[in-house]
Order: sequence, then C-alpha cells, then structure tokens
Amino acid sequence: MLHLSLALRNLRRNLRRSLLTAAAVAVGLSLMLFTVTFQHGSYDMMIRSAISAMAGHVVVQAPGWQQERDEALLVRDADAIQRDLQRALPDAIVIERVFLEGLLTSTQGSVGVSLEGVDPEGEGAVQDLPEQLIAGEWLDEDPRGLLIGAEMAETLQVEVGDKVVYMGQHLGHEVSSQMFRVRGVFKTGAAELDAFIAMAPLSATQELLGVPGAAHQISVHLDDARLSIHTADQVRGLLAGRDLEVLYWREALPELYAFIQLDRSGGDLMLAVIGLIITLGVVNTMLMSVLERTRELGVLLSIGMRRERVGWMIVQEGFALALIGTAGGVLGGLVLSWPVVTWGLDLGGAVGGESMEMGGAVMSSVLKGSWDPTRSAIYVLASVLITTAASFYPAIRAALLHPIDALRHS
Amino acid sequence: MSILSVRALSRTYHQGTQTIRALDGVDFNVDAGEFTALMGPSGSGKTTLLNLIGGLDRPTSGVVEVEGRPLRGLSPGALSDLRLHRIGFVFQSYNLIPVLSAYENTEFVLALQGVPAAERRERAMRTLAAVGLAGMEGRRPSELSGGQQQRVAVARAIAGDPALVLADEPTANLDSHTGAELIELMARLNADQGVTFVFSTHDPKVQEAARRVVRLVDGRIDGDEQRAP
Repeated sequence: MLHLSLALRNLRRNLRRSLLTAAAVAVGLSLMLFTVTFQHGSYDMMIRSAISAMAGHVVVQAPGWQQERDEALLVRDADAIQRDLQRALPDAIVIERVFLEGLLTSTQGSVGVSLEGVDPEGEGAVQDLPEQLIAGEWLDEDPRGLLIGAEMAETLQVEVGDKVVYMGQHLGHEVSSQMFRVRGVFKTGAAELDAFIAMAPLSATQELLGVPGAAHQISVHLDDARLSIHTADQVRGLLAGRDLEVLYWREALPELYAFIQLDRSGGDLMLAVIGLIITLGVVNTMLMSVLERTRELGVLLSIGMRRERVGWMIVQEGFALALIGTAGGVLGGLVLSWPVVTWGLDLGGAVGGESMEMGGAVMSSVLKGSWDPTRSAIYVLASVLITTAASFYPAIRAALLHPIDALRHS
Repeated sequence: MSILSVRALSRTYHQGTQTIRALDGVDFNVDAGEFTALMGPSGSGKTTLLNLIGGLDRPTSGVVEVEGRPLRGLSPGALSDLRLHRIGFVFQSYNLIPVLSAYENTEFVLALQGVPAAERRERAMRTLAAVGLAGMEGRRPSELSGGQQQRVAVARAIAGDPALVLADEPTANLDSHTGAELIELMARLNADQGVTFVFSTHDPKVQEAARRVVRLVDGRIDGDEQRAP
C-alpha cells in the first residue's frame, strides 16, 4: 500500500504528462477494441453469408467434388440422404444442391450460366437472396420457374414472365434443353453472381442431369456455427460406410477461412504496431520520470530502501498508469463500438451499392459489429500487462542507481 | 561501548590518469551517545568518510564496523537493511520526498521497517514533536522553511531508532541562526534521547556545540579533540 500510494502521488506530480500517457493507452485500446468488435461482426456476416450461399455448416459431397467440381461427382441417393439427415437433425435445415454449367438463351441473346438447382423452401430459409429480389418472386414448386441476376437479365433483355431456354450437355449425354420462365430477378451487388448465376428448382436440374434423386451437395445449416464440428462428426457417423465426404464449413470454404485468417493477422499486426508505439511512449514517460527523480531515488536507497523495492515502486507507477489508461480504453472502446454494434457502419457510399463482396462472400454493405468478449478480454489484459511491462526497463534503471551518484544528480 | 570502528580506511578515486586519495588510512571509533563533529575544509574527505561509514560507498582498503559488524562483504541488500535499521541519514539539502507530508516522510522509514500502522503513527508523531514540528505534520516540504525541512530530515533519521545518525553538512544550506537552532536540536536529542550523531561541518560556530571534534586534512585525521559538555 505504501508503494502504491507513493506511486499514485508520483503520477500526480506531473499530472499532465501522466494523463497524456494514460490517454495514449486509452486511445490505443479503444481503437483495438473497436477493431476487434468490427472484425468479429464482419467476419460473422461473411461466414453466415458464405455458408448460406456457398456451402453449409456441414456439407456432404462425393469424394473429389471439393477439388474438381466435376458434375459427374454426384451423391446418387441425395434425396434419401437428405430425408435421413433431416430426420436425425430436426433443428437443422438440410438441403440439396445441383450445380450445372450451360447456356441460357432468350430471344435477344445468350449467356453462359451457372445453374443451381435448389430446394425452394429450404434454400429460401437459409439464403439472403429472397431479400435481394428486385423483381418477381422467390422460387416455388413450379419446375419451370427460374431466378436470374440483374446483369444477366439485362444481357438477355428479359423481364419477369419472359421465357428463356437452358441448354447443356451433361454426364456425356446428348445436349439437353429446358424452357424456363423468369420468376424473379435478384441483385446481390457482386457482379460475378448477378451476371452468371441462375437458380431453378432442384427437380428441374435433376431432370436435366438425367439422374433423379441425385445432387452434388447436401448441406446442413445450423443455428449455431459452433456446433459445426460436432454435427459433422454426427453426420459422418450417420453416413458411415458410404463413399461420401463430410466437411464442416472451414474445410468446405478454405478460401474464406484463409481470407479471414489473413485479414485478422493483418489487423493484429496493425494493432501490434499501435501497441508498440504506445509502449515506447510509456517507456519514455517512465524513463523521464525516473531521470527527474534520480536524486530522490538516491535518497530512498540511502535511507535503506532495498533496490528491488525501488524498482517495484516504479513498476507500480506503471501498473497504476496501465489501470487508468486501460479503464479509459474500455470506456472509449464501448463508446466507439456501441453504434457499430447497434446500427452498423454503412459502407454503401464506398462500395457503390447495398451489398458487397468480401472473401468471396456477398453481404450487406451495412457492416455490423458484434461483441467478442474473449478477444476483447485478451486485449484488455494485454493493455494492462504491456503498459506495466513498459515500466520494467525504467524500474531496472532506477533499481540499479548508485546511491552516491544519484545523490549528486542535479 | 564503541558502535562505530574505522580502521586504516582508505578510498582512492581514479580520474583519467590521476589517482585521487580521498581518504588515507583513517582510524577512529565512536562510542554510543557521542556527539561528534568531523571538521575540515572542502575536499578533506568528510563526505567520503560518512559515505563509507553509511555503506553507500566501498573502501579501497580498511575496515568499517557498525556495532561490531564489518561492512565489507555485506551484500547490497544487507547494507540497505543495515542503513534502514541502524543508521540514520541527514543530508545537506534536506532531500525529503516532495509528494509526502512531514508526517509521511517521517513515517516512511518506519513503514519500510515493517512497523505496524498504529505504532508507526505514535512514533512518527512523537518524533515530529521532539524536533519541534508538532502541528505541522500535514505540511508538504514545499510548505516548510529550510530549517523546518531539515528538522523533518532529522525526524526521519531518528524515527527508526538507529544506533548512529550521520549528518553531512546539515547546516550548510541554512542561515546561521537556523543552523545554530538545528545543531541545538541535535545536541538536545543526543543529550535527552542518547542519539549518537556524527556530523560533518566546516562551520567553526557549529563545531562549538560538538563534544568531540575530529579534524580531517587531505584525507587524514589531523586531530581528535574531546570537549567538556
């Protein structure tokens, strides 16, 4: 208590300098907490969006599909497996998908298309796409209904209700064709999706493939992403003995996961640089404080204060500074982050639309933060520890002072 | 009983190619209850001798014993403990902790010694009263005159009940009247409480109060004079 009381008074001695140093810690930590919250929210959105549109929390595919995307790599009894999995996982949404490449033609032109066969009801429940329709309606059981992107609609010069014809050659068969009627037009904001993706009911694409009941992917969608690995294990158990590959989302979307890791590492590096700059500032302040008090520290050593206690006193000054700065940083972090968590940050102006693509995932341009208690706690703890550690060198300098030299210091 | 024994004490410093002999074979003892002045001109070795006695510096050769315990061979921590418990210091320029009040400066040594809070309070208050600072306990050094600050320094030096108080030119920064008052205070503490003082001075007026005067010239003892109280 003696040291802490003296440490606090020493900090008050040059109040402006101490407050400025604590403020540097507070501002740095505020930025760190804001970044952590913003990153956590945007990664959540990215993962949710990518999982719903591109994979699932858990996917079942034929071995090799993940790498080759060869349409011949089918899950032959997909309808039956989907029913079994849905029965076994009543809280999840289990859906099938077929992916075909072909040509879509209207009276005004033609365009290469990636045609996805989906379960209208299940897909509608997991995708953001129903909210991104700018004309028409979401798919229903009508096997001739087709959803296309806005750019594709423009290229083909079609509107809702117009006829288009899909042509493709699948599994080595003759060229097959199918007439569809445009049921809806979506705009995701990602040019690639809006220009090349079309969606049709699963049954229509199975018919084009000529393999009833088959699909390229069965995806399981969960309420809680943290259950992904557990559910993947459960699905593996249910499908034991079958020649199928069961992946959870990180394995199914390796590019997205790598993007997030890279982005997070970049963020961490930036935060580390901020932390280093602040640490150097604290070291400088503490060193100046020690230098100014050299004579006084010499007196303490002369009257019998042990070297380690002198050093400990300086560390306590650093600790007090750390607590004050960190408390300010937590407050600042909450104030900065709260609006982003509550309302989000609208990047629409910057990206020129209501949605944008990040890491291959299409999501709203209004990025919302979300609290990340674990990482935030790590940064708060790191702030206290690093700021305190910044006083170690000045403390060692103080502890190693020679009393006589220190007493002569002016 | 001799509480301080200095034998054949030498201290040399090296400055470039020059060797400066600050102390050259000093011998003397101090008994408990003595009030001893170290006299001598600037550069005679007074401060060097006090630093060596207080364990702030290491001798080139010779022996210093405090209460029969040789300082040579003691670790820095053990020397700190010796200073904390057995030796009090009064410096020329007061050297109080500016952020602590007179009471806290006095109490600080007791806290370092691990004296319980209640006893600390009682002893610090009693010591401040003994140096004539009753009622000024809450004042910071900046709110005290030079003489008052040096009284706090004396209080800090004696609060821990040391065997020996070393005072290096304690009146040098004070005017003659205040200096005389301070020496009078030290003499009274010596007479009333038996505090052993060894203080350096080059002020002839101050030496008049001493009961023993040890004269140093060029690092050697040039005279050792006992006086009647």
